[in-house]
Amino acid sequence: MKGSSLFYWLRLSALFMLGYTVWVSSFILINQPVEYNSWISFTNQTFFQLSTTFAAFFFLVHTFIGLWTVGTDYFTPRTLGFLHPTLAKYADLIRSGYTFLFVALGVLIVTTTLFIIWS
Amino acid sequence: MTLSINIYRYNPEKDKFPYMQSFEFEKPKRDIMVLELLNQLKEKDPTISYRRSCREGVCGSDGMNINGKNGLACITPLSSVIKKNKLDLRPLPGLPVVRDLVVDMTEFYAQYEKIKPFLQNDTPVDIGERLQSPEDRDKLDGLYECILCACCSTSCPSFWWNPDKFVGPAALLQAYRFIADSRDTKTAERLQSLSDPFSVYRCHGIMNCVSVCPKGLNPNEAIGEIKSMLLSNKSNQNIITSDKAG
Repeated sequence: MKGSSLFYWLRLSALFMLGYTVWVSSFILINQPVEYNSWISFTNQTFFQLSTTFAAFFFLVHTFIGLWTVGTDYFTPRTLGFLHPTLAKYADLIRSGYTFLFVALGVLIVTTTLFIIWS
Repeated sequence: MTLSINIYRYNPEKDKFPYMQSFEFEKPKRDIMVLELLNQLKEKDPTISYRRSCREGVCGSDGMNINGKNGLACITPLSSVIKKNKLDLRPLPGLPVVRDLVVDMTEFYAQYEKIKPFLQNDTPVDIGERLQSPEDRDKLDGLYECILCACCSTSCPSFWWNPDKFVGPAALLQAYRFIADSRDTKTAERLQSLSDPFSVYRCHGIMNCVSVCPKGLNPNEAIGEIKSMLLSNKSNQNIITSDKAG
């Protein structure tokens, strides 16, 4: 894995999610008060479904890179060893568990989002 | 007026844990440097340990944490750092303490060694030396002046967490010093060696390095240049060689 690839994906995903948030927020602000029918017709557009799918994918990418960076900073033998020497021995295990948790949570959020959008 | 000087003390042969030792120091009539203060305290207590050599900001030996900010004791006036008549002196953060204010700089030098801090050029020398235009020489200003005091790298949280993987601002400044040198032909290899997610990209641009550099250098800018070159796919040898030739 190259550092520049992570750099690009992090920024691309951030820009996409920013654009998506501005777009959806604009719809809500412009169409006040938002009624059920207008919201349904907005969310039933294929463009909305596709862009939400991309936003969910980019959310997963963005959070993975960010939290992986946090994990490799703070859940290492050195960093955990500052707290207690015993923790340093289990640092790799702790980091693996942490990674599994946030990946599982991310996949759950994305799967739920896609299910809601496309069902 | 009396100043309260607190010095980090740790002798691994005697102390189980480090501690802060307080000294009372009569405020001098003229402003003195922090190193001179330490020298005077050492006359009272010869066991205080710290590194020093040139006492004029050239050797980089006496880098330490002065009232929370890294700096060179020999060029830091007491008046500029003293707060409420108190001064705390600690070793550079993030590196193992050998004794008192002396740190083990092995990891710092290992990163410096990693970037190959010497000119690399495989082409034959024409007239006894490798010439450089004044414009190309100007590109090295602000890069070559680093004295390796480690104030910048040890003020960087990314270096604290991953000193074995993140190269750190001091060594990255030197890496760019050779990348920017028109006489060096190993730019592609140098960039390739920095392309992993840790070596350069752990810099998040918080600029602690710029804030503390006693020589007024800007490692953050150099790191930005390295990132730009990595991102613009300038790892291609031909592109870089032709850039330098042009």
